[in-house]
Amino acid sequence: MIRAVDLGKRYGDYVFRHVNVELPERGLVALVGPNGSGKTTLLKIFAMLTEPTEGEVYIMGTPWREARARHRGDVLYSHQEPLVYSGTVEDNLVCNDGDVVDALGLRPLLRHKAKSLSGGYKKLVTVARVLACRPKAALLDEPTAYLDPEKRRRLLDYVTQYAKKALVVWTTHYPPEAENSDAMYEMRDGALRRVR
Amino acid sequence: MSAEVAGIVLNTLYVSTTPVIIAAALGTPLAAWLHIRGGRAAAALKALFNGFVGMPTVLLGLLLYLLLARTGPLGSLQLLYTLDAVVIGHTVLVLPLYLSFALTALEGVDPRLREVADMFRFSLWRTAALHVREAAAGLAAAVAASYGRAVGELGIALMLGGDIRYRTRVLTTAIAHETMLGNWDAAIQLGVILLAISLAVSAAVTALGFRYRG
Amino acid sequence: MSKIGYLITAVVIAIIAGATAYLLTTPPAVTTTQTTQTTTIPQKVVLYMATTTSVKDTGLLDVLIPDFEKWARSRGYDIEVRYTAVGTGQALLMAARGDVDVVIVHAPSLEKQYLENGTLKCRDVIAYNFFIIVGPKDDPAGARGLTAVEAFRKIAEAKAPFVSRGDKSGTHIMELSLWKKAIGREPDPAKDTWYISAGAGMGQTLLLANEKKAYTLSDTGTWLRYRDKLPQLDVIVAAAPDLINIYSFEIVKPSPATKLMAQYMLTRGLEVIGNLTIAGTPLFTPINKADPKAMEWIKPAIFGPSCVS
Repeated sequence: MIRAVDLGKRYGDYVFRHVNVELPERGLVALVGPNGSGKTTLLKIFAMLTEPTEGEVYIMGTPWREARARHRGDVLYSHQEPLVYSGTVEDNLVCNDGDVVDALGLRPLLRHKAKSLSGGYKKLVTVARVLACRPKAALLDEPTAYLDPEKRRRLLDYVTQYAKKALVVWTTHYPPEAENSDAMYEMRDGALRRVR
Repeated sequence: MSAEVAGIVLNTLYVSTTPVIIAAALGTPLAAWLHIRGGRAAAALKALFNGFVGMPTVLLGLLLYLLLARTGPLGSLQLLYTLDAVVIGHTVLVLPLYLSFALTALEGVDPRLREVADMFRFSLWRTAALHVREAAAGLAAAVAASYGRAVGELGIALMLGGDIRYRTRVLTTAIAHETMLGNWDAAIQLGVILLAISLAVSAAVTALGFRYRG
Repeated sequence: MSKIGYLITAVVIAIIAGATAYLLTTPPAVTTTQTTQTTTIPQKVVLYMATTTSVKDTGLLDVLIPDFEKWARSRGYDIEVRYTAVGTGQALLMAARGDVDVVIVHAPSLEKQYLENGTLKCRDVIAYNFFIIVGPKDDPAGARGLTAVEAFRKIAEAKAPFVSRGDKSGTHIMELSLWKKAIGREPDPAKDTWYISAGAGMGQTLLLANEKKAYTLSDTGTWLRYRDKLPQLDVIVAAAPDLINIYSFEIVKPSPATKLMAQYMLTRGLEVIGNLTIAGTPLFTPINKADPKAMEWIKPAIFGPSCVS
């Protein structure tokens, strides 16, 4: 589904190099690694928001440049920091999807002003925005950050279900959280390696 | 307040409100487009507008005079020494200022929203509307600043309007006139009215911008 | 769209509608065809007039123009006069360009040139008043009661502080001509340190003179209006032949409307001009009330074809 061949990215210094990975069409993939190791950068490249410096990336078999024109909307990225804009929660959810709304407990909040919510709910909206559009690949950057244990559980439950029919790649600082994943990769010292 | 002063106030409102509305109507989409487009051409245009903010009003008045005078290219429109000529002058004066403020406001918008707009394939219209909404407070400040500039402008009102009693007299020219005549008390009273208008508009617009941001 | 969005849209539309309605209700002006000799006046005529800031600052136009328009309406003519007050030089330049139909200025020597070169088609003297020399109450230069030229000579000799308007206005031009007659040249602010060029209007110049306890040349109107703000100053030289200030009305682009205005200026207009007072003192003497002595001084400034004949 997403294939990276000898992928490298630099802003002056290299963030990472020689990344080779093939992500399947379905499944839950965890990405771990220390702060600043480049997890976000990798996900953003896969989401076609940042351009690779070297190597090639294939999204559903299409090279990166072409994919950015054709497969936008198939790969969606959920930001690390909560990201909501003016309007209600409903306005912030670009796509209509009652299942996501109910599963994540956002139904009672639909008419609320998104910016007046707590950080945890804002984060939930950020993630929900991606999931509600049912992308073929959902790249979630630290989706559990800011969430209290109950919200965290609901999210992980939904995501696990979702991953049965689509690809979900998510990052976390806590390897124990990633126990249920089908695969786990680690980004460290500018290199990606498969752990499990 | 005498009927004559009321007329002067109405004139002032006309030559302040209309230019700001036009500037906002033209400037907001232009600023949104410039911001979203980015790139060197956009940066050059931005620098150009910022530069024009410093245009001396006397020069602007002279150029517009040459344009609108009977012997000028637009003389047949007979606009000179009417309030409409002042509106034109104020619009040209205020547009770069509005653009400058609006661009700054848009630049303060979270750049990640652009990524959201790209990923979720927002139309250009939707992306612009999103940015404008996020920048609402800053745009309100742009409107308030532009209004203040227009309401307090003397040179343009004098050169293009003429300060003709009952016709093109506005608060600024009336204040200048009363000052010249030595009626300083009257001048100060008119000045207070002018300030009150500027403050009222500023407060109203800022409050609206705040609420619209939601 | 949110509720606030609807509210804002409604307000904006209301303002635009209001502005449009305002624009539509101001009747469009119909230009006169200046070359026709027909006796019918078109529906509405717009006349452009240039005059000087000194004239405007007397407050004369505020009464004279509305009165003329009313007078014209009672005779069946719909005339709108759009005037602007600028420097004398600029007013005559606007006439030369053909931007205006009539002018009211008070610089006979310049007017003569523009009459001779064809810019001004006719001329009528309508009123006069006097410049005055004001200065510090104790009159250090000993200029009191002399003629203007003699007074200026004394001021230059004593190197007493003098404030000039320095803005090429009618007053400034009069001042310079007096200096030329008194000391043969115009004072140079760089070399003559007692001479201050203010580059300002009459009121500002008077205030500056008050601050510096200096002499200056002023028109009567502004002096009377600013009297209570100038405790240090007093009139040093009043009405003198070389201080006479003569106002004329001239036509640039002849038309039935301008001819009507000329008629007004020499009839009812004179009445209105004569009635303008400050604290009981009239600001102008209309030409039909000129006293014989003044007429002597005015005679040399009467030239050119009249606008009503």
